[in-house]
Amino acid sequence: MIRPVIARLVDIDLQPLIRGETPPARLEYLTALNERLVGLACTPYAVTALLGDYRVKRSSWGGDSGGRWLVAQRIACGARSMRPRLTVAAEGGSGGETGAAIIYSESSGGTAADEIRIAPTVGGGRALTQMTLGGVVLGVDGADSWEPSPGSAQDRLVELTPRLAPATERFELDEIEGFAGEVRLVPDLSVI
Amino acid sequence: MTMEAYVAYSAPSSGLLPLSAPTTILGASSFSGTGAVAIGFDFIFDGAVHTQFNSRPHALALGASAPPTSSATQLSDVSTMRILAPWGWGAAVTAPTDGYIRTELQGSAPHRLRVVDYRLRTAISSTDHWVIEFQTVMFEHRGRIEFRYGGEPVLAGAGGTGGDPKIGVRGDTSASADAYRDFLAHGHPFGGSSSSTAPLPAASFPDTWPGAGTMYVWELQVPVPEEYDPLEGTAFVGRNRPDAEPIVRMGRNTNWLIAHHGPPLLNVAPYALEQTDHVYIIPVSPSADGRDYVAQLASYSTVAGGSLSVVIDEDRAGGESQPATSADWAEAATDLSATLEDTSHWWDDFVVPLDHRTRLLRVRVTSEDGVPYRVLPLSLLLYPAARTELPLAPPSGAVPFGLASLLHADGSAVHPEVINRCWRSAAAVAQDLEQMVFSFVQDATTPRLTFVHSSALPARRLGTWHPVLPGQGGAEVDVRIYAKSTVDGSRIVVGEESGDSVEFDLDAHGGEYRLMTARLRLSRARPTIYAMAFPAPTGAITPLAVVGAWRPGA
Repeated sequence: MIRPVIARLVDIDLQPLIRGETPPARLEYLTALNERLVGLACTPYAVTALLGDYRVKRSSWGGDSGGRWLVAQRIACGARSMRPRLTVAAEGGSGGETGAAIIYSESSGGTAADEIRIAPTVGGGRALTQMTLGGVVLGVDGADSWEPSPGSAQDRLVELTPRLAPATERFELDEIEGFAGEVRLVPDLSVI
Repeated sequence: MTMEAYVAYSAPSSGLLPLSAPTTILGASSFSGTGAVAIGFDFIFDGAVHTQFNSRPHALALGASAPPTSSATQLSDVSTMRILAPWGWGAAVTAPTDGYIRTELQGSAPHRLRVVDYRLRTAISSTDHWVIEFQTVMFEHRGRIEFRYGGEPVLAGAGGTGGDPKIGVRGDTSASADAYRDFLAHGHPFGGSSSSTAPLPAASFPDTWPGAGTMYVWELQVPVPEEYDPLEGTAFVGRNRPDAEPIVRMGRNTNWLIAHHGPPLLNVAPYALEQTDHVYIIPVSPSADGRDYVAQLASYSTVAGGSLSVVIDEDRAGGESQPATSADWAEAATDLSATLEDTSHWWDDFVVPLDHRTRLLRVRVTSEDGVPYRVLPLSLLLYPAARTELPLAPPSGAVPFGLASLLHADGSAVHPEVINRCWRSAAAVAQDLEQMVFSFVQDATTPRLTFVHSSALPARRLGTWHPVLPGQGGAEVDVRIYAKSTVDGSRIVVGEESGDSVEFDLDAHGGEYRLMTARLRLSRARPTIYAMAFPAPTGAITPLAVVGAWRPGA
């Protein structure tokens, strides 16, 4: 098993790992270096918090009814899943949006349901934009639940394809104002 | 592997390995052999496989036979015998009442180890001697050998000699006269005849005792490659342990990181309505590594099958204001066009070469052929393109690994620079490439969002973000805004909830947009970031972009 680690990039000291006289060619040095390189390769990239106006994709604002927002995130090596971290705004009264925030992301299990539904956690109507409202703005996390074979739409971790190279993951969003997420790593890098 | 393939070195040690249930194989006050004891795995030493050992107090012989008796100098006498001698002092005997040679097998295959544990006296005299403890450890993995030593010797009686021991290992000297790997600093060598080998002064003991802080190690040196492809494979090869060709593996891993590390330079979801033309101006800071960037664009069109064009320009003029003339915009990506297969569409990836002096990107998305249908860019992502060739000396300081540098490993030692360069080069790239943490961008041709002063609501929310920088609490983010104000005295404040904030003072500047940057320290890896607009009385603020970018090494 090779457990990937997250490197603290802000703390990396670029001083030499080995100082002084020429040492013997030791496997110990190279194993330690390998672990550091694995850490660099598997440290997740910043998941950009995107802020958009998803009303324009809705029929009431002149967009196409039921349209989805297409966005992408860069994912480093060794990722297995992502816990959505959303921004939602509440008007504080009735009449706003009340449906769940929806992320469409392919699931690979024996049964597959690509839809992830995160129920709103704010009372009253939920606004799809915070820009012009004086209401409450909240960060909402998706469920921390790993479900590789979802049989139906549910609140769960977003499944990512584990890779040994950085990749772009695409998502389709609906009724979400701000989108980011926390990447989780595979427990064992050697099985990828 | 013969003895020439071994390297010997001293290393810091935590002392003796703890034993949980050792087997005593020689009791107190004895200098006889233990008899043949199973090692428990195939122990490879001097090019031969050994499954047994037989030890006297002064030395361990691999195989069923005991080493020569009593005299340390006789360790050289049987040329075909392979010997491990942590303290090859001929007068050694197990301690009078509580002495022993014990052994224990630890670990699981293929990383088992055989520990042989000694408690001895350093002289024949049962009353005047030193009591010492040490271990010989044989490793299943790559035939590593460790000699570990206990704390300070304990003096029993009036005194006693400690010895001028042989410390080292010996291979089959009938096959190679040079089959010794000794530590001369603490003993005298296996080589040479008994009579010609001058012993060290006995009086030097116990000063010569290595002590619990030192161990001696023998292991096979890592092989140096004869050929080396400096950029092989598209996947990170570090998933394997560096058992085979470890120097090659480290070099490739380093080069792979230099070539493939690819965080998001830019990631935006524009705030706009559908219209025929769009222009976005977005602050960026490309790497000094001279990279190309891959662009991924998603767009929406009211007409499936329509055509769009995209032009990406970069501004290198410097200064705070927008480019004064069109000449200040340099075209980074030539006219790109696509025929949309559907209303919502991911474009094919395209490459945008960016100069590291670039501070603003201008992205123009237009419906082609004068067709009056409306379009909407849904998102735009830019990330570093993977290198197909390695740069010789990029500005980040990351130096790729080549065979020339590998050859510093000259057959007996690895130059420290091999390790140091691997680490520093890979880390330099990870610290140099900028990552976009949060973003807000709106269309510049018809900005939808302008904050007009209101005495009833002087502070207006511009945006709230919930980004994630895994494991990176304490990161410092460059906040960049591109905005204008109609009057002096307006402000935009960007901060972390329950944390620091930065303030941008917006004067009128003739109604011109300006680029402003400030550094915000984030206390958390999962922060909540807000931006508030404070338009001055009678005035209005129009922000075209508010972004946060993190360069780990800044």
